[in-house]
Amino acid sequence: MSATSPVTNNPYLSLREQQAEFLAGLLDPRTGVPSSVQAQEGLGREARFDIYRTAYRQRLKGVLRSDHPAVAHVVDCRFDRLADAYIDATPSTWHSLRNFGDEFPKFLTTTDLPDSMAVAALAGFERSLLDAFDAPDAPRRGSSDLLAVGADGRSLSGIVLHPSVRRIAPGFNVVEQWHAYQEGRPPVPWVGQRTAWALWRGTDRRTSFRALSPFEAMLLPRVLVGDSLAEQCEALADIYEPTQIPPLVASALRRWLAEGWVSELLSEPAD
Amino acid sequence: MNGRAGAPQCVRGVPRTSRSTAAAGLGFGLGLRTPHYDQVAHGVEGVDFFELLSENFMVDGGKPLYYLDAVAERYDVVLHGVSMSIGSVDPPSREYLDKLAALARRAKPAWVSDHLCWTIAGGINSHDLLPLPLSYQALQMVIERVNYVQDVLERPFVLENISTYSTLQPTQMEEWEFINTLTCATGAKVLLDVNNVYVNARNHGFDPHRFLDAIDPDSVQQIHLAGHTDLGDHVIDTHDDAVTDEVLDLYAYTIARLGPVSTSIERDDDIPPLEVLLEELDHVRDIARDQQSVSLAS
Repeated sequence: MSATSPVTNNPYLSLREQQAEFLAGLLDPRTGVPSSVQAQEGLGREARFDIYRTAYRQRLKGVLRSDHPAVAHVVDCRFDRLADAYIDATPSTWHSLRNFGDEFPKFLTTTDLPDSMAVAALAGFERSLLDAFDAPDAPRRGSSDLLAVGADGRSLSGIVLHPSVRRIAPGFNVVEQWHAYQEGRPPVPWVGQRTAWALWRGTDRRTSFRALSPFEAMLLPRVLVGDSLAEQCEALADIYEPTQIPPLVASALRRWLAEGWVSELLSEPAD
Repeated sequence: MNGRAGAPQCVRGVPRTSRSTAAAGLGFGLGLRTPHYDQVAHGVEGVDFFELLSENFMVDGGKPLYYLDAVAERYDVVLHGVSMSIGSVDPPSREYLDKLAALARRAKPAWVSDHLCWTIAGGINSHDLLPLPLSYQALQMVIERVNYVQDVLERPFVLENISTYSTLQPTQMEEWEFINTLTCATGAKVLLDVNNVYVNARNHGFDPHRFLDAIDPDSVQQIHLAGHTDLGDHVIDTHDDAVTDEVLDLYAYTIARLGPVSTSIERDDDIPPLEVLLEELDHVRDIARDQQSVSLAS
């Protein structure tokens, strides 16, 4: 560790070049040891740099395995190969490892994995659970707040959902597969499934999910994009009799309020 | 470092930021890890402070922030990050710093720390603590970055010496010279990881006491202790086991020289029940007490 020539005469790479070269060596195992890695007594340059290469991959693989335990359960020994391919294809641009696997579901659709679309859907379900877990906090309204809207001589014009509420339509039996992992059972055969699901974080801060009724499955996406009640009813009139819609909306709203999904009740003066 | 061409210089005596927190010892703490969140939020005896991993709480809401508030209400806390990448040539992320500043306003930590390393180059994050060359160029850049970070955070910043496996050219000073000049020039403090000193001494072939003797005592804000994996011809900083006797001996040596310093244990893998870490912390507390008794007696 003895000092060499001062920076003004240094023959070495600039710091920027050095960091780019070091990182390139981590990302691509086929590249050689960065030129700035000094020869030292004891371990050779290659062995020293391999410690960093190994740590880089192990850390990222660990994150994917921790975020996607059900996927790892289903694909079993192929998980490492998939993780390596994802790490190669998607170097992290995130500050937090929390986001490293954000593109993992999409990536899985591009692989030659048998049932790749179903496995990708399971990965999407696991990411939705993560997203609901640490989504922003917000107030929650209850049925008494709904009564208060009417008591003020106003009418309900729309609702804002809690930021943790998500709707997914995976197209496969991903929830059954997820339960198999949770209960330590072998993976179940994949089957197509049209059920839509809602995921949310409850008042106890636990992440929950449940199947949506066919009416909720159509209503929820419109609420999530901020449609007013009038717009929602108009859109649903193509499928339901106009007289059916208000009681169905009222029933869904009562349930959503009870489950803590509703953050805000929007109102306007009653006609 | 005096008089070397191209070398950043600093003369002790005019710290850039307040040193008022330097003497404010927090006692003996633990790095808070996910398996222990619930237990700690409900209160445990035998820990003076908790060190929270900043990035675990830089989220929008949910359980992490609930636990943050619960722990910060019961205990003194410090924030410890892994992603600032203070040594990157890439400019610091203002978005990251603003989030960290917001987290600090919420948690009210005694101080905020990160690592003296780089993780990002060209916008790609390795998520690993990568070494800087011990060069004048690197030192000058880090001095500028630390000043900027302290301006954004509006508080003194604390930097941890990392464990390294490669030395990068050019080497123009010793690691402790790099750190001493940095803290002198910026008023930043040191999170002295005694395990990392041991790991580097083994991996690079120097006497760890040279490092501990040379580091400016006034700059040391906190001490880290952790376990490592000894592979014979080299040592990996794994944080997956108890602190080794060799590192505890160095810790005793450090306390004998520095006096009381806030000390915490880190465990990041094979995390045992909290009670096991509390026992280990008691042992560390005893070592520190013994060293202080010896110092007073002499």
